[in-house]
Amino acid sequence: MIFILGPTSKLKINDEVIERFRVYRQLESTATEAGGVLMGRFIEDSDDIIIDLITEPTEKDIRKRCFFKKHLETHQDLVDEIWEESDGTFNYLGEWHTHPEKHPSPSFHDRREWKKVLRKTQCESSLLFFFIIGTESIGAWVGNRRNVKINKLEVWNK
Amino acid sequence: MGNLQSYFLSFHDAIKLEIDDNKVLREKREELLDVLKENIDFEEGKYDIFHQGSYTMHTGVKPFEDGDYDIDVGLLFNISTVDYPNPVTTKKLVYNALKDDYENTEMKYPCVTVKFEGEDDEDDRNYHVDFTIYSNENIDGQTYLAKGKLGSGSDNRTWEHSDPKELVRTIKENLTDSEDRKQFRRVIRYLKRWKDLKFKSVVNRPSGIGLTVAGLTHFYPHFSYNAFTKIYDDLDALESFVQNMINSFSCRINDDGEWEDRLEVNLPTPPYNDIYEKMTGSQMKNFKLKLESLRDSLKEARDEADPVKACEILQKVFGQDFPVPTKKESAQQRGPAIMVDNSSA
Ligand SMILES: [Zn+2]
Repeated sequence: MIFILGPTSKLKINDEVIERFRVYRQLESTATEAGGVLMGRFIEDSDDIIIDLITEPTEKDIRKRCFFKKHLETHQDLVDEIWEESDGTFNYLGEWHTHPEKHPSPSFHDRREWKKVLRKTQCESSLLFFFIIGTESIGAWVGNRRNVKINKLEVWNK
Repeated sequence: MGNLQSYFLSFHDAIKLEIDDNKVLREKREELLDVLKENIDFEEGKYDIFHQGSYTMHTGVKPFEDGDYDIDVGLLFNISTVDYPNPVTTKKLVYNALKDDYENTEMKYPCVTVKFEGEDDEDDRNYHVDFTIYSNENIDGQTYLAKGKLGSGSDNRTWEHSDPKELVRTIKENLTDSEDRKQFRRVIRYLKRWKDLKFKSVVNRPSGIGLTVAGLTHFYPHFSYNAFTKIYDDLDALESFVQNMINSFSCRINDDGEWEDRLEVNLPTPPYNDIYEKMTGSQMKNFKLKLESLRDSLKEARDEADPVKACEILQKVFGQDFPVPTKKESAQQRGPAIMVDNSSA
């Protein structure tokens, strides 16, 4: 699945990641919210970005029907480990969580939290991504750390 | 598209073959020419040596798998077809001069071929040198190629109107810009390797010279400008070349009254024949199908954002010499990230 980032750049989610998202969809009325962080590659000689993997819910995370809070230290450790093992080529790219709705859109709370992430995260990328996994579709948003603006991404059709 | 140009350039480095880079090839050629000079029974005249074939035109590729290295040498004899009406007589001058020293000397219809076993420990591939023999001193000022085998009757031998030097010049000097020319040569080499891989053990497969000549009309350089620097895009150039060839297939009725979809590639020099005329209707159909499949794979690779996956697609098309980077190699290195506490609802 590919989203348009700019006239000459794309954001791709590799199939393995889509498969993991599929697992966490809130299909049952009792299913709780899931979430984690997005990781992947900034492609050499281009502005393309590939999401190769995600961190998934851990025991210490708080999961409710309509609320998710990841245990920061646990996920930060995972991110550090993956970043180190990849010699700095697999990087933190943003956050994901699920919604119990067909075609997801961010809540007021989500937007406020995303802006906090944009303002306070320390990393070398000017862009961060936010994914919401609905029961029938995936919504993707890009945030700019310089101006803290958030925009929805369009799916790229060949 | 992730930028695939650097992977294409590595592929090109892996497959290109220039005779100046290959000592064994050069030595074989010189050795044979020395033996020929020593032994030829041709007191009355002389011949000029002329290097032809893909190495001369900078479109040579390394032989694929167990293929031979082949070297093409033209011998332009200062004789006329009036004085030497039988082309086989002239071919025999060359054949006889070589056959005692080289047991694998054979007179083929268009040339005299000498085969060698490879001697190198690392590279045990075989070699063959094709000598084509021409009559080059005619009243009409033209050059004629000797065709015929030992014992060919007058119906099976001929002096064929030819202009090998002009053919080599036309291909070598195609396009005026030297960087455009390099892209032309690279793209021809990609296609030739594709042909070696996809038409393995196919009879009457499309020849390398046919693809090269097709490039004279169907290839256009593809690049974009970054300020005043041309940034070449070999994938685009190849895709449009292939598409132009596909578009040029046209239907015609064959000798049996059946419709055939054919690509005609006419030699730009005498005898101006269709290089692919010997391919049958079904061989042509297979050629077109393979071109279409190549085009589809090139499109797929271009649409793939992940260079690792794109190169995997291209490796299926071009074989193991096309590099596939690891995920690490495909990505930029960045510093660590320090995340912040947040929640979602
Ligand atoms: Zn939410």
